[in-house]
Amino acid sequence: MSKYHVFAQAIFPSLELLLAALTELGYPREQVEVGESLSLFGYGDDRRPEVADVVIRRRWLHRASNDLGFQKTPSGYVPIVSEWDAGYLRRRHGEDFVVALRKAYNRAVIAEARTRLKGSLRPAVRQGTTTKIVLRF
Amino acid sequence: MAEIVFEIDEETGELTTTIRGLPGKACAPVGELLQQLLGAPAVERHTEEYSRARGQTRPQIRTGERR
Repeated sequence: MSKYHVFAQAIFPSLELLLAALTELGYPREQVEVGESLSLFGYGDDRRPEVADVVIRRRWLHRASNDLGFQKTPSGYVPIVSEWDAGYLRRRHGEDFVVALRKAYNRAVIAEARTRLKGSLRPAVRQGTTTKIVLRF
Repeated sequence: MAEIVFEIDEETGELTTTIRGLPGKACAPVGELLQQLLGAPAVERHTEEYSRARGQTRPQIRTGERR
């Protein structure tokens, strides 16, 4: 049985932006359950002791996957990913899933800030390992 | 014209934001918006621009650095 890990250092405060980030990564809204203390199930349909408030069921992942979830905390949503799926998702996304999600979430933040401030974005500039984006308003 | 500079570390996903063109407390509403979307920053520093507006002589750096 693959152990679940909670990535408490990766916090996503906005549910709306988290859902937008997941959509960008290929998990559209219809594949994401939102609720409270939803049970997580393992690859053998076994109910796991862990629960989550946002869940992508394993049927949307790999046949050997476990459910993928996010637990709501006072600061925001934190990912809960099984050890096996951390490896699978790394292969699927070409990088660590939490890193890919943070980047997608950041892009959603920039889009939201642009809308709320009625601003305009300058073209993104890559400098080494950093991508710089300027929002003018 | 004011601006927010977003810097995304492509290896870690960490985001640093800098607010420019809004001296002193004028940047507070924008900082609040960022905090609403991103959560409390891990590190927060005032820019030189902010300090000048408050009449300080010692420069400080950056507002809203997030890691």
